Amino acid sequence: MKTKRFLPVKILGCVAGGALLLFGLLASLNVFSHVKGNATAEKLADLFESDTGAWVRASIMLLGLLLIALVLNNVDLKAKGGNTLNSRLVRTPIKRMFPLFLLPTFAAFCIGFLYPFVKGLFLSFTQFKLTRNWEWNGLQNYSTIFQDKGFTHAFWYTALFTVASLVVINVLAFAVAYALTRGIRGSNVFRTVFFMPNLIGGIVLGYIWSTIFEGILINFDTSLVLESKFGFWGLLILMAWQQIGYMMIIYIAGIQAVPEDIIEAAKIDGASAWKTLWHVTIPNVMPSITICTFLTLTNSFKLFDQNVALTGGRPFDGDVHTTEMLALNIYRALYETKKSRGPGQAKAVVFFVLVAVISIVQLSATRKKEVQQ
Amino acid sequence: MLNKLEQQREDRVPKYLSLKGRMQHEHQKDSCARSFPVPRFRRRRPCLAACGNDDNGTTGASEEGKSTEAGSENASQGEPVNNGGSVYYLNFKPEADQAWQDLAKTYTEQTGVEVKVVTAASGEYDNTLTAEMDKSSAPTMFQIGNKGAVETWGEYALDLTGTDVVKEMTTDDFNLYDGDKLVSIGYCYEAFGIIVNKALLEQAGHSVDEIKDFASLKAIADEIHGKAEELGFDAFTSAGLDRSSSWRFSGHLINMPLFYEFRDDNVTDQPATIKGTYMENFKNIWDLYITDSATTGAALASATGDQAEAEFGNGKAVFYQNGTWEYANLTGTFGMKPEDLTMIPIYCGVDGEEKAGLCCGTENCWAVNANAKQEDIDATLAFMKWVVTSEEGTTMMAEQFGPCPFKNAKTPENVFFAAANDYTAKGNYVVTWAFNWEPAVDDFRAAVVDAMTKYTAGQGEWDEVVKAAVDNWATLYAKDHA
Repeated sequence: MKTKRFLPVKILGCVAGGALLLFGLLASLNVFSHVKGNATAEKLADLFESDTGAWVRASIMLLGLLLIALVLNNVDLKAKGGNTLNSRLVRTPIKRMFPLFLLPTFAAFCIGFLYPFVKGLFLSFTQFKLTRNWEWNGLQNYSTIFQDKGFTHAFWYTALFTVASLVVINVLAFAVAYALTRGIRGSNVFRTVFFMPNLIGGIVLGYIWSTIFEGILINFDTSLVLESKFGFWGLLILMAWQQIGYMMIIYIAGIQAVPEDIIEAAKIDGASAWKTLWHVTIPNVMPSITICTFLTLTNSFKLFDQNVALTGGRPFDGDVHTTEMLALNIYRALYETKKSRGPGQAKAVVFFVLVAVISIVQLSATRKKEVQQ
Repeated sequence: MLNKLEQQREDRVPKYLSLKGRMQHEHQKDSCARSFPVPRFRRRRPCLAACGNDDNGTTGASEEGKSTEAGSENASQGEPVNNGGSVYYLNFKPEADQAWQDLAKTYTEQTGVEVKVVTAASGEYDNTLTAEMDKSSAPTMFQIGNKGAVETWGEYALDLTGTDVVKEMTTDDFNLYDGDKLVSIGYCYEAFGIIVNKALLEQAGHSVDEIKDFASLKAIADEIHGKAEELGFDAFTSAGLDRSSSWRFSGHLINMPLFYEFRDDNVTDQPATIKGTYMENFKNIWDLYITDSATTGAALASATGDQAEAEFGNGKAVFYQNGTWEYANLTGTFGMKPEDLTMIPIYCGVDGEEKAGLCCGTENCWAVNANAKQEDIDATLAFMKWVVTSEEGTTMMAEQFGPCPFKNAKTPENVFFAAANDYTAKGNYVVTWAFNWEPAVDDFRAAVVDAMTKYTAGQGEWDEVVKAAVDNWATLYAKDHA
């Protein structure tokens, strides 16, 4: 009943908030100073696009966002009457104070993700050297990147590596986890040891492994940077070494959570160990498998440090850096030539869409297979 | 193994780690702002009566409050004056960081002008500059050292023509122009060539005077390499192609074919393409490096710069291609005697090369940010002038950078520069730094190094090196000018 009464307020608040948000955003992207021959725009540019105006712009945007959040949320809460918490004494103060609770996380989210993302998206349609000094370029950047052989190679290479590491890491991690839940003596020691590589940063790990690989390959009169297959398998070994321990912990938790009675029932029914694993354990650890595949998938797709440190994309084949993955390709584009930043940004946007789509598809696909206990 | 690992960790500072450096710098900036409060509300107003007392424009820190009002209008440009502006210098030589920090402190003590010096991590200057220039408090003073940088940053640089610091200069040779605009000034110059351990050379029964061209160099090197075991040292240090060392070749050694080609063709500005006329000479000298050395073949793919330096410093090799900047390390860290050291030109079998000198040039060129606030620009120009004229400044410059092209510059003790001057005095031609025209430097060099690595390991032909240089020059130039 009450919703209707608040509807105008809702709409008004949203429009006002949206306008503030848009205005702050345009000022942040220095759009006003790019408008030619308009007195109002020039004035706005003077007022809001100076170097010192960053806080003003940020505040305007934040204000807009908060206004929207406030109007929507407050009206909704009152309309529903609330039924999650029973005591009004508890509910009302918390409700009133919600912006306060929201603010830190919300601000962090905006500063760390939302704003950079929007700005990046915008810049992908421009040609720029410095982010505040751009030229509109339309879809030009997007059309150039798909003709970039290096980029398409990096895409397929990344896809191949992702599939390979997904399989290798998960199979091995599950195997190790399974073995370590059988009650072997010293399980805890093994678990710690397997987990340890995770505590080392990617760059350091990359250099350690490159030293190891070079040390081995030198006996065969060759080097890691001479053949792309070395780079591929080297990276796979490195990633497996680093990630198996982490995934193992998740699988162990999953395996330990499998109800004893189901396993016992299977045993009584005469199921072999293999059958028990296949038909009882694995369906029951499906949530862990979901998490692990999700993690390895995105980890491999976004891989950067290890790639830089191990081969840095070498060896080259003309324009194509044969062991370069997407993230490194994007990074390199930003510094390649003075004209490559716009296309580099476009690559980053495409990359984001790819990672997002793959993750969502993968997540929803595996979710369906999970066993409800 | 561990030792090598440490070297690599130092040498190959991963690109993105500079982010951390940037964050630290940010932090420093904040704390600076707190400890050196700069009067905030400064406006530029016409001269008031107070100007009269201030004609010479020199005011000490104690007079800060009084002078600031009129400072920026009144001070003659280039005098050390506290007009409320501050200096932010983005230094690109990590080895000179401490010296700059100390000098900045001295300047602040003397004048009250805040000078912030930030040093980009090794090999990270370009990335750091890009990030810093995007900030609201961008560097007021930075380096534009080669053609590529002029292309990228020229539009952000102040035209330095006629400034006081330029009036102090003794030569225009190392300055970089964008059309008529003086984008940056070369504040020191360097020379590279083949560093020779004269003592070892004598031990092998030869002297530096015998080396006059490629043939004589090769003869001596071959002989030393032939009896390396009995001598206990080899001819050349390892020509490592790890990125801590490869710049010596993809940047410096390739200068030889580039220089001679440009000289033949009268090229006076960055060309769109190169022909690779003298790439065969490049091969001559490269083959010598990778044959007459203790480290050969695929092992060179991961050999580091420190390894080569240590080999030379510890008397394991007679020849070491590097530059004047190595002097401090060789005489300091490795305790080599200056009289045992000299530098000879890089000979590669080009006609008339007996008359060659060392490769002299610089990438150390100061530029001033044209978009900075006027008072900051004034403060920066004043600081620059002070650095090249004051006792403290010139001492530091001579110690850190060697000979500097300024009237008051001090003479450094560095035998390599003496060698460079000797060659010039004898009437030999100076080999200029043609490699400063390399387009998209990082990518160009990476491609050349990759091809050289394959060739060196016996997995590729020399043609591919030629192709990597010639083709990449054309494509990268085209990308830059699309």
